[in-house]
Amino acid sequence: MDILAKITDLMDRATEAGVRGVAHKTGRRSFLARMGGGLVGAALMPVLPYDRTFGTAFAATGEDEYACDYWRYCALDGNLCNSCGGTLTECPPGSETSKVSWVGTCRNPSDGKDYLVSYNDCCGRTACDNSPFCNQNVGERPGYRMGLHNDINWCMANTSQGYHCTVAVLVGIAE
Amino acid sequence: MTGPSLKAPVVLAAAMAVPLTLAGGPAPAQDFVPETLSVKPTIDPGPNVFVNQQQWIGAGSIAIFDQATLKLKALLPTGAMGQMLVSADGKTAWAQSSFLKRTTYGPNEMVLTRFDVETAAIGPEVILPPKAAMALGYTPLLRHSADGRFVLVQNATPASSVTVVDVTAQTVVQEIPTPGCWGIYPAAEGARFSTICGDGTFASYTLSADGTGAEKATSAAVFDPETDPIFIEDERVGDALLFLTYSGKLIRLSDTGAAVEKLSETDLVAGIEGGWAPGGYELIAANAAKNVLFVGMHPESFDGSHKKGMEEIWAIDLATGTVAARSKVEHLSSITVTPAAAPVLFGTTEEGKLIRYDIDAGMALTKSAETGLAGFAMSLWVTE
Repeated sequence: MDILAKITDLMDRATEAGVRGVAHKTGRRSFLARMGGGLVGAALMPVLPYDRTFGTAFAATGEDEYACDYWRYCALDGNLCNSCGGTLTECPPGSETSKVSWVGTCRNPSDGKDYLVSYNDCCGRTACDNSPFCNQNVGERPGYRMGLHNDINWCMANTSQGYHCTVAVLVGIAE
Repeated sequence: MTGPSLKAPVVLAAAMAVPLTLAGGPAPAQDFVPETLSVKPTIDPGPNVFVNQQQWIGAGSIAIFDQATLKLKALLPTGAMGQMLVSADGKTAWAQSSFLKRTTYGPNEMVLTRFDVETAAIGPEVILPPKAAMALGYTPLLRHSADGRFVLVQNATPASSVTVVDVTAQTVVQEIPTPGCWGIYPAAEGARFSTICGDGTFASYTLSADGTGAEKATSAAVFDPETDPIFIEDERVGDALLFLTYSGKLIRLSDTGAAVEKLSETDLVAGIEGGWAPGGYELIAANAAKNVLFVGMHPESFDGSHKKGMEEIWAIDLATGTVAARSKVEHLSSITVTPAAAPVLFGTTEEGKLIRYDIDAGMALTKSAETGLAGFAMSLWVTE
């Protein structure tokens, strides 16, 4: 089992007991149960020591952070927060950072190194369609590898779940 | 207080007066019969195409189109980020969707909504645990058991689980943890489903008679998630479940037993030049009568091109595993095909079109109609 799978498994195990606990409380909306799952993921994902590159990045090699081919957007699917009042690493004013995120591994053309990029969604504001909409998928995987999946709303663990835009935060260097 | 409430009747009266004058024209006033305002009681008859017109910015819809003309028959209203499900007989549709209190913030009420297709009537609805996956439209994220008793909802918190809804009782009866697994694949009979797991196995769950319990069985690894992951879209032909890998291998699985078993693996692109690979969202469609699988393909594939729009659709002869026909298409995202012996294929594009293709005896496609769509139209469904 690779590192990501272990972390995903740990995340799932941590919430499994909680899931069973609510199995018969069907009509009740349990924010605590959802928040519990989200916080486990939030604690783990940003420090993910992820070391697989799934081959070479092809499409995202540019250096203009306002264009979809900017190198660190190699697995970004969404609106660019730096075109919505935020920056590469800051959500726009008034929005919330997502508590959980997906991770890409992108090659920086200036130094040739592969960086781990945490794609956090920014939440609780109207979808920022003023921005370019990007859809890059290097290393992207379906939901059975949830930490690599970008076809889902990563505001899922927040109290405000409206999708606004996505940032791209460098959180490590792939070995 | 005067104002809008008093003005409204005046405006309405004026609006009604205009047609009286125009429609009357030269005819004598005594021959005029005023029209009456009503709601059309049912949708137009004939086979339908259902398209999940998903929205992330607010309310979406399930659009019902006529198969022959692509005329819009009705919209079934959903909340945001909805998933679509249609019964095998095409008479009932469901949506799982999100209703945020303030549209973009505030508590999220997640609802499973039932629709009567003939009348487009809403209800009943079931309030779900607020964990359902807020994902792009994928058919394996909302399914019903083969016996028709249960609707199954994929959850993500991001921990994965499946909510089981008793359709008759209109209640949630169970939430099954499915850690590290994704997608819902009902068995052809009874109340069992399988799910794809991140270690390359499938986990299968056989529900108890009342749906409150489940027996789990796990398969051996049937694909390699590291080197060649599988897409989550599936098709069923007889007892076999069909999946595709990113590189273009067709994997056939049997889910007739308690656990999934691998039947075969066929490389669809072996010996074909151009770097072709499967791509899209709902990217495969099977017609059992012709024993054919239609696959969306793009050339010059690379790591990350697996959602690229389809440039060709390949018709795979399932008896031989070979390519029977290749047809150029307009960058489709998703496809479906009718089950008829003379099948018709429908596809959606990211630019917002629904396109109909006729299929000749050699399984080649010819575009025969198109119409416009709204929202993210990544999933569609068709009945006879």
